[in-house]
Amino acid sequence: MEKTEPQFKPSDSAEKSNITEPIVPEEKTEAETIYENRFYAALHEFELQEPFYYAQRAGERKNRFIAAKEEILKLGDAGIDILLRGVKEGRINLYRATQIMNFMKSEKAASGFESLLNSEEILNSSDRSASHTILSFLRDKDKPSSISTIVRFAETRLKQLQQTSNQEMISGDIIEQNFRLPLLDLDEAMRCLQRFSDREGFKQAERLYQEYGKILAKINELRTSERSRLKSFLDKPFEVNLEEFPGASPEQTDQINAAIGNYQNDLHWWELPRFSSFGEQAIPLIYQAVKDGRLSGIKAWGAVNHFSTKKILPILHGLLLESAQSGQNFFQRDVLKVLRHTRDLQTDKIIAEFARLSAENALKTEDQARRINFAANVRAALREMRRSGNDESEKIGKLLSFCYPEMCAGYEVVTIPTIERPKSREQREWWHSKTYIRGSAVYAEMLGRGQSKVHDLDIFVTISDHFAMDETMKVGYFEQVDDLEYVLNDEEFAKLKKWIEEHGYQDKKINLVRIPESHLQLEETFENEPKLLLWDQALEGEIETSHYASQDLENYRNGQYYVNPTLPEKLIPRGTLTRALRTLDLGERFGLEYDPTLLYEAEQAARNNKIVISCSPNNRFTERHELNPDTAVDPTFIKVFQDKNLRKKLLRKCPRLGQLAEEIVNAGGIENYIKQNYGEVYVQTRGYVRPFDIKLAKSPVSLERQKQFIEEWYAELSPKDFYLDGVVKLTDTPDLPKPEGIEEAIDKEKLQQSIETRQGINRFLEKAVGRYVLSLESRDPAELKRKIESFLTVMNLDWPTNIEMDKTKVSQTLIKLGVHPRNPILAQFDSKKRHEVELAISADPNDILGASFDKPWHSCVELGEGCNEQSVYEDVAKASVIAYILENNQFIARKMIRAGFTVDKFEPAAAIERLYGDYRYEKAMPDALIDIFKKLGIKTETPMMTYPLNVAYVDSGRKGTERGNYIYYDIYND
Amino acid sequence: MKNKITIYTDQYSYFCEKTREWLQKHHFEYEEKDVKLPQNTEELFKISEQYAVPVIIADDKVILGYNEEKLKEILLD
Repeated sequence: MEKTEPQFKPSDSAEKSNITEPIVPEEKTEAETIYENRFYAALHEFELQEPFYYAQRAGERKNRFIAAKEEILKLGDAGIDILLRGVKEGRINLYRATQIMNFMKSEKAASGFESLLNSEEILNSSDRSASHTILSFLRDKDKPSSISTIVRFAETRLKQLQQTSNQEMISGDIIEQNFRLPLLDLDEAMRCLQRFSDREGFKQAERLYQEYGKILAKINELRTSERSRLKSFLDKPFEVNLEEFPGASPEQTDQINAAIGNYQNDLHWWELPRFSSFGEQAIPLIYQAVKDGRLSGIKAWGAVNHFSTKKILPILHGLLLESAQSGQNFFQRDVLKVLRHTRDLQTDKIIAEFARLSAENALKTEDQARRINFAANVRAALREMRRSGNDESEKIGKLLSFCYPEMCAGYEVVTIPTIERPKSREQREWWHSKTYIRGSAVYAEMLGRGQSKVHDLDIFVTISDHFAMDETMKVGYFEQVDDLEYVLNDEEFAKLKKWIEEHGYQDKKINLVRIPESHLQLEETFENEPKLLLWDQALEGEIETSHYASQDLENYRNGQYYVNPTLPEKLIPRGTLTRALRTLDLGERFGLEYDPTLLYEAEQAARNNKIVISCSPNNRFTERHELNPDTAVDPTFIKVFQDKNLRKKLLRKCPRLGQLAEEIVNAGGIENYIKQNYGEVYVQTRGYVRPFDIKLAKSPVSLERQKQFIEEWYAELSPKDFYLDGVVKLTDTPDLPKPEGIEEAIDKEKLQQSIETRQGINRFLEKAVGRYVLSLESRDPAELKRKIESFLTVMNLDWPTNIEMDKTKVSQTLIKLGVHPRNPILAQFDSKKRHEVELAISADPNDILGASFDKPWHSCVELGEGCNEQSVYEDVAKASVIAYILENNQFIARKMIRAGFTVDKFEPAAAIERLYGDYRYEKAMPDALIDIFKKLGIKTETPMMTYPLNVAYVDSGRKGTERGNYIYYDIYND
Repeated sequence: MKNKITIYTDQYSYFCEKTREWLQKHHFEYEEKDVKLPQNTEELFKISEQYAVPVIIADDKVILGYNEEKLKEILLD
């Protein structure tokens, strides 16, 4: 037979006794007796070795403990019977029994615990370890049948509290501890009930909380009445009578007061003046000084403790009461110690009054430092009262703890637990601090029209950014407001329900969204979107507002607290395409002006096949990764689009975008659309596609290979290199544009020296000076071919060896295989494109010096900034020429050409240095120069040597090879 | 012969080799056309509107590339 869980049955009445007997078998069989003996032997060993289990060097004892534990667990469910019997017979400690049952984790243990929880042993126990173990065990088991057991237990504790609070006071029978145990149990029981999956647990916890609330009110009432009774009991216990002391003459009074003044102002306060030498007359004057605030409590104690205790007793009483009133710190403990030896009824009363007054003032004061002093007073007095050995004093001490539990905290008295209002599972999951109403319902209310056009209600709940995490973002859909009963707390739910009913939105569905507070603005549909703050935890309590906030608070309490209280004249969508669509919807629905730019941009992008279709919602996070949320169709866009009317509107306004969305909807969502049309690989890797993306849905190869291919396909392509086709000389003059400001940058003296040196050496390179036209052709980079081959292999195809891979053939093939005609890669496969640039070779010192001055490249020879700027002066001096590539008279690239000689025959040679500027001319430029120099009979091939430059300056980037100046430098040094 | 199969191939193509192997393994007879010959290249384009190989024609259906699943679907099922 299938085992069914027992149903929850609430207890019939509170009157009925809740105490149950543990269900234990009454008679033992012989076998059971043997079991029992084994069990107790193991338990004895268990208890004996347990302390050593946690010790670092327990050694063998640890193993013995483990063995004993195993032995106990071996007995299984039979062991539970023995434990329950043992508890009843008093053979086993209650805590030990629960501890062992907790190890067992069986169903039987759960029912054992259930029967034990309401047993007399637990209810009369003076510590909570057993009840704590049982409650946590039952909570973890999450059996619906446990709920009734826990409720019975909690009800019993409530009843105990009730009984205790009904007792008459002052007899000292009620003490704080009498409340403590039941309250802690009740607290834990209610926490357990809230965590049961069965909703009954939460309901019961709420019911118990209501009852607890009544008892708590009663206890608080009792506390208040006891406080006033305590006050009247201790009323006017003492007044310091200064007349008992001999009066001082005016002269003496002046002397003593002067001494007091000096003493108070003296930093070295431990150097006590001999007040005793003034005689007893000084005592009332010292006390008066304390009262007038001329002497601190601490110093007063120092001043009077030279006199005999008996004499200063009234003053000590006075000092205590003074401290209880002012919160002034003095040596309370020392004073109380002194008083301990002169204990009489009046002193006891004064100590009690000292504690009561301090406690009372501690609750009133806002000064943190004074509150600490007051609390210290209370604790010191309570300690003293307990030590007095006087029953009356002890009772008053307990009463004080009851009246002022907040002041009696710490290690001496545990404070009363504050039981929190129960939270349902949903409330815990949807935890938040503010609730806003947003969306069409708010606009309709603000406009005073269009209520019928509200489709659903958007409720936003927020968490402070301080607590926000990834999980904070949460969305839920609810059919009606009543479904939110367990999600929102009571006041909040009541407010929302009232608002919805007042405005007639009962039949609307509710979208509940939780976000961090700052996102409320970031994620708004349009800029300055109005929101109604419905509930704010912080504003719910009793708060005092400043003048400026009072209006806000009043609005809040009237349900009129709007963030952005007016609708903007024009709705400007905030960022994403989804919001643009929603804005269109709102604008059309409510007849408001809106900005359709984003939608039009997206339509344009869709027409140009540049729109992004993304699996994940687009927001400012995805914006960082390539996606542009303005033109990204995402799941939220598709969701909004599914609205019939909106679909029509969009198709009318933006047909291509609408059509695309339609296709996606028909495919069954974005993921399916991508899978069907572009291949699953995009869903698994990038999560988005553009219409011109390569289609891999039909690829026969594995996903892994496809992923590899995607990486290859989207890898950066190097630009096309230029290849030289021909060189034609245009003019004999280079006619280079003069960079602005070069005159100021040139060191005239140095230049003059360089020019003079240049005149004296072989300037054979100057023959090449002039302006040339270079015919170039651009060729596709090798990677492009590799990409195409890679694509073919993803389709299990090869390019036949004899068919030329020209643009037409490749395009036809790729388009047939699923590459969009507008795929950018395809556009690049455009071979043999003609291109013309000009080459200028100049020997003008200004052009040489301006090698890197005001040019679209930088180098170390830049005049004014470069670390090797002197080298260009050397270039002038050593007969170098400079070659520039120009396009529309703009500098594109340059190379310095240095005069050199071949190593073997010392024939004139041109050393062409590295290229600066557009590196696509890396091949074509030297080819052109070589062509020009060859025609002039100037050698360009290696090996050669050039004039020595500054050793630190090795410009060529070819150091170590024969073309640089190193080789010359070596020869030169030899 | 149940199915008339023609394949357009290139001598050095890895996937053409794989296609041949598959057809032989499943005991299909096939006619092979080498795209080295210009008339075959033209024919290849007419049939498949592209230039890559292998292209398999079976039961008047064109299969681009070595695609086991498609071959099974068309020739075995």
